Amino acid sequence: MDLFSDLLHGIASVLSPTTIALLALGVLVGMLVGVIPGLGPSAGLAILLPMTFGLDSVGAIVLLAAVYYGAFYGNTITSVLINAPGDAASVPTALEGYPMARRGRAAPALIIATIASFVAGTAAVVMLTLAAPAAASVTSNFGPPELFLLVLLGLITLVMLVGRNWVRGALSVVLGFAIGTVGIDIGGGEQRYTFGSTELINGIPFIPVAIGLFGLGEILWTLYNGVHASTRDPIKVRGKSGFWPNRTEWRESRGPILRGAPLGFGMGVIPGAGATVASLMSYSVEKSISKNPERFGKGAPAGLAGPEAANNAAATGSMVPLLTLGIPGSASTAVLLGGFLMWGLQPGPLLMEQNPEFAWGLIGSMYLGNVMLLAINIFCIPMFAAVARISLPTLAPLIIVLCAFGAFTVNGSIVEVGIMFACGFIGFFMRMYGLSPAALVIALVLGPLAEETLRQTLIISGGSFGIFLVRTPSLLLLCTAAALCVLPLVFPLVKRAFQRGLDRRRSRSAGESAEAGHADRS
Amino acid sequence: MRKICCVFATASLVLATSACGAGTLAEEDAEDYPDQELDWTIAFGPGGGNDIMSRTMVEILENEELYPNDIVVENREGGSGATGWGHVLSQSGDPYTISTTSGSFLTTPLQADTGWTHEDFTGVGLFATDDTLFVVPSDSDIESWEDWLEFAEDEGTVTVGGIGTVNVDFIIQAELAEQAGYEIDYVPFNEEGQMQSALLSGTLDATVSNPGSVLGQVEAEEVTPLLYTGEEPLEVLPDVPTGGDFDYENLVSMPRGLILPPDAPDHAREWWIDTMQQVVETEEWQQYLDDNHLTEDVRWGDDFEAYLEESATGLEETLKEHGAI
Amino acid sequence: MGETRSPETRPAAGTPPPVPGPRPSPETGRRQRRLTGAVLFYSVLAAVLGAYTLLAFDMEWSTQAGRIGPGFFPRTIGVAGVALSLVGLVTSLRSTPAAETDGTESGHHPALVAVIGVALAGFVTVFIPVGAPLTAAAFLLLMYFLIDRKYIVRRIILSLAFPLFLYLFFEVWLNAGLPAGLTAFL
Repeated sequence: MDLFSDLLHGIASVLSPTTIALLALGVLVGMLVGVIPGLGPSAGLAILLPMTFGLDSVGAIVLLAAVYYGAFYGNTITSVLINAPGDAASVPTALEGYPMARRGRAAPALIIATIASFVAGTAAVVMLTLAAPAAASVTSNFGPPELFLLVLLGLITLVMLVGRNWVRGALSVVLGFAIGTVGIDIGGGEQRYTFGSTELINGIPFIPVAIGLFGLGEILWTLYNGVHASTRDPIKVRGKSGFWPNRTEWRESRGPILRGAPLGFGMGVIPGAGATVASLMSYSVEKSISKNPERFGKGAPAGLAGPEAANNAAATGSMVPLLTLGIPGSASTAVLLGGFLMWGLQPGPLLMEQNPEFAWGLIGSMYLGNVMLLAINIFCIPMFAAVARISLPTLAPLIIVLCAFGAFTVNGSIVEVGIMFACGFIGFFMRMYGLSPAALVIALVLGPLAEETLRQTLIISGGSFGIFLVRTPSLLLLCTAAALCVLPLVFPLVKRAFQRGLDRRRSRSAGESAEAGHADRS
Repeated sequence: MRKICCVFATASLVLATSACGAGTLAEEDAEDYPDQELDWTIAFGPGGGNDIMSRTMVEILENEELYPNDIVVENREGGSGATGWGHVLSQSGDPYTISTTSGSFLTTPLQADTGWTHEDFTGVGLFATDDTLFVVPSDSDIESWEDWLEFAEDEGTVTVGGIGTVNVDFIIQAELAEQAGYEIDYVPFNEEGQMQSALLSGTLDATVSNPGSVLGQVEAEEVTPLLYTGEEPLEVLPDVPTGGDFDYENLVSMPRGLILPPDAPDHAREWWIDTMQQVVETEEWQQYLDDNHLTEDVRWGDDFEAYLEESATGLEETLKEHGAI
Repeated sequence: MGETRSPETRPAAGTPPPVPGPRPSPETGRRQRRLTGAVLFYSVLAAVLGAYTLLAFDMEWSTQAGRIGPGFFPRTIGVAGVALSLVGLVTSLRSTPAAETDGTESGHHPALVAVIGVALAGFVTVFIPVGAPLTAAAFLLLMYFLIDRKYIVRRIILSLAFPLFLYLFFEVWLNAGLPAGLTAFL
């Protein structure tokens, strides 16, 4: 097989001690940077960029790619330990991981996340190896109408996340949308709600909002509830927490991982909102098919494993358009694309043909990178999990300082620290009155995308909504959206009907046997 | 092994650089310049066009040992450059703060109250300009600019894309349409990736892009280039006509230059002009221009500032004319 | 949310009511006050979103070409938001908000949250002039004084050491450009 010889060649080319050392360095740096709230892949890339000048293109891109997925995992750790998701896609991780950590299951939560990332990451690289060209054709079918529908899908799945009280849920979403309209309107260049501030031209930045609403809001909420004055420390209640997940946790994570990986890969291929929508969809799928949906939001391993798998598979999936079409699928892959240019590589559909050693070297390094992440993580988790054992009153002030430093560092802007603090209080009141910070944060990410793509669509179509029906890909998505809307309504009915059928059969057979008994007697 | 050593050497260099601490602003003799650490501001995130240019320059300065002290490169991203150049503005008079320019240097002040315009800064020099390539999907049967004009006439109104509204892409699309006499619906995008997939998905009739980001598609015959807005044809695509071939005017390009803070001392400006004259002669720099398909356009000091003034006025007029601001 | 403040819950009161579990019955008085909290919350939301909507009506509904204009989404969002917060307001006026408390022991500490709010506002104000390490150290000292006074000497050491460590880490490794302020000698 041509493919496998290419791949083997690629793996062989990265098996040199130098490349492995670079890979390890990249993964470690990425993780350490990603762990700091506020900092993500691009901060890690900025640190390592000066070092890459001395390297050849394969070494350099291996290093940068390693930072890229290392930072993803670092974000997971922060989400689980201090409830500060670094991007919208890891919101579900924080929703489920953090309660697990608070219950003393920090290490198992991190292990589940690691395994989910590893399995999904590896599966996604296999899919990338086998199906990159096919997947690329999906990308090239995604114009603004399809992107809009995809975002709409993501918004529909928010319903699952919001839960039963739809007024509060919808209010949270609307608040997210409202915050999302701040900044220069991409459609016309008009400034909205910036009040003349240059800091707000590009909108209210996502990271300080997410860290504020989640991390800081949570801290304020627990302090408000008197965790510092409590005689019992909630963590020490179950002091011996164990390292490995227990059997139930394993069992609950297995299915979500296997479902999350292909879902994430498929969504990641789509440029734009892939990872966020994938992780959200995985979350709502798991919640809707779970036997105990009420446990979601209180530390359900399924709600952690699925989105985490989807998120990581999406990160790999977004490499597909990058490698096969030269189109960056996300902000971080745009940075990698910049790296390609820096080494004189021409990104585009011919990249894999013209520079096979480079493309396959990169793919090969992703296999190894996943293995390395797994190894490093299993090694580091006890250290990280120790953080969760520090009592909250001691830890909370340190987290606030760390978040403040992190938020400041991103762009060196004190305004962002202020936004983060303010969002801490908004998050606090949202919790107090039952609103959903998660829905707000996700609406903040998806809202502007929805507006942008809808407006693009309507310019393209000349103002008519018919364009959604004329284009096959968008029609397919429309059907999916409709199905998603209808399913939760129909599913309980079907289930009930099925149950009734079962009952009837059971009662009938019971009746029959009774009759039979009766007949016997007569 | 040498590579690892190199990495660690660079790493320790980076550590040493930052451990030295931030240089403070001090009065000093012109002859001693430069004897302090340099704060190099990139007004955009890592990996973008501006970032790549800055880092290439810094690498040349370091390799050729042109700058005797440390150079600390910092990405100060935000507000389409407003944050980064706002930082440079705040360092008024400091000869140890420097930054590179790009399109937003002229356009951002036009759409927002940034507190600065290009006039505030001390211009060192212009090195190159970014021009754009007009492309259509290859499955459209349009093979030349003439085909395109015919197509546009048949359609009545064509749908074209570009990045942003208050931006060169919009001006180019609007000017081309006006001068060639066809009607457009302009679809603004936020990022190159989404625009390219929109073009490939058949929702757009044409887009304008930087050659660097679209050449891959051209080589793979996914898209067909019809027109280049530079003055000279693009080296890799010598057959693609330029706007000048059809007597189109006003096809603005974006300045890639170097600036110092407002009221920077003259000796610092002279020093940088001399030094950058050496930089643009290097092979590495020429390689950079080739790799990124930039048009070399060198102007120093006052010439550069005059060029900025001229471009900014032109931009503003055109944007006002088309109702974008 | 000053009206949720109750005299018996000072910050670091140290004497939590020992009753764990669900809210005990003699809490009706506080419930009353809690109720006004929710009402105020929704009122503020309605007011903020109302202002948002008013501003949105200054933006154009559609562009000259008849497409969706910059005001379309803000107006829709604003109107929906006002409506939703009014529904929330009415609901909170009518219902008894038992579900809003989650039954943690040791009561509530609104004053503590308010003090932290003031402290954080101070943090942002002095962060650049005073510098990152000093601001953080002062903030930590205050926080530990408020909530974790048991091993105060250890906490003081931690308050001084952690910001310094973090500052050096960010400066040296991330080259982050945190403000040095008064500690420029570092």
